[in-house]
Amino acid sequence: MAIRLREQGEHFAAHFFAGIAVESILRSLSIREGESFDGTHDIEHWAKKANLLPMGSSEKQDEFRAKLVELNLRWRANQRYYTAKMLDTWLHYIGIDGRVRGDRIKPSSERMLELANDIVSLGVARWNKKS
Amino acid sequence: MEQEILEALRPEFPDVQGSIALEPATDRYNGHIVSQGFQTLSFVERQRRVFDRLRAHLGPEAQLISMLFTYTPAEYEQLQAA
Repeated sequence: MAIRLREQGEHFAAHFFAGIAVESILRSLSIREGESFDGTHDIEHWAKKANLLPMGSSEKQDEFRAKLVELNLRWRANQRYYTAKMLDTWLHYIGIDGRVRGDRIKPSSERMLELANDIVSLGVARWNKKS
Repeated sequence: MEQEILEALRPEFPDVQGSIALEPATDRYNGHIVSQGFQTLSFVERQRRVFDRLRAHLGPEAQLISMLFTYTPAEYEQLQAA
C-alpha cells in the first residue's frame, strides 16, 4: 500500500503506511499464544519483543539495528493525526535530514519505504520460516 | 548486565545513559542508550561503535544483546515529547 501511495504522489500517506507495515511485521513476530492484546504502537517496543536480526556478520546486524533506530525516529504512530505541515515540522525538529531544504516529506517518505522494505522483507522471511 | 553495558561504553561515550532490560520471551537484552557522542555519527556508525565496544568488552555475552536504540539527547527529548 505504501508503495502504491508513493506511485500516486501521496508521500505523506506513504510515509505513514510504511511505518504501519513495520509495526505490523514486528507485532506479528512478537505475539505469543495466550498473550492478551497489547495496543502499543511503538516500534521500539515491538522491535525489542520481536528480536528480529539478520543471520550472519555483525556488520549486517549493526546495519539492521541502525535501520530500526532511524525508522523509529522518522515515524511515530500519532502521525496519523498529523497534517503534512506537522510531519514536516517533526522531521525538522529531529534534524534527521539536515541537508534537505524545502519539503522534507517526500525525501523522508522515500527513505521510509527503503527502510520498511528491508525490515519487512526480513520479517516475512522469519515469519515463513516459523510457519 | 545494564551496568556492564553502560560501563563498557563510558570510555567512548562518557555521558551515556540508558535503560536496558532482559526480554523474557526472547532471553535477550534490549533497550535504549542516549549520548551526545552520537550527534556526529550516522545511525550505522553509532551501532558499529557501540557494538564493537560491547563485543570487545563482553565477548560472547554481547550476543545476548539484541536491540540498543541509540539516540542523542535532543532526539530522545523529541521522542519523549511526541
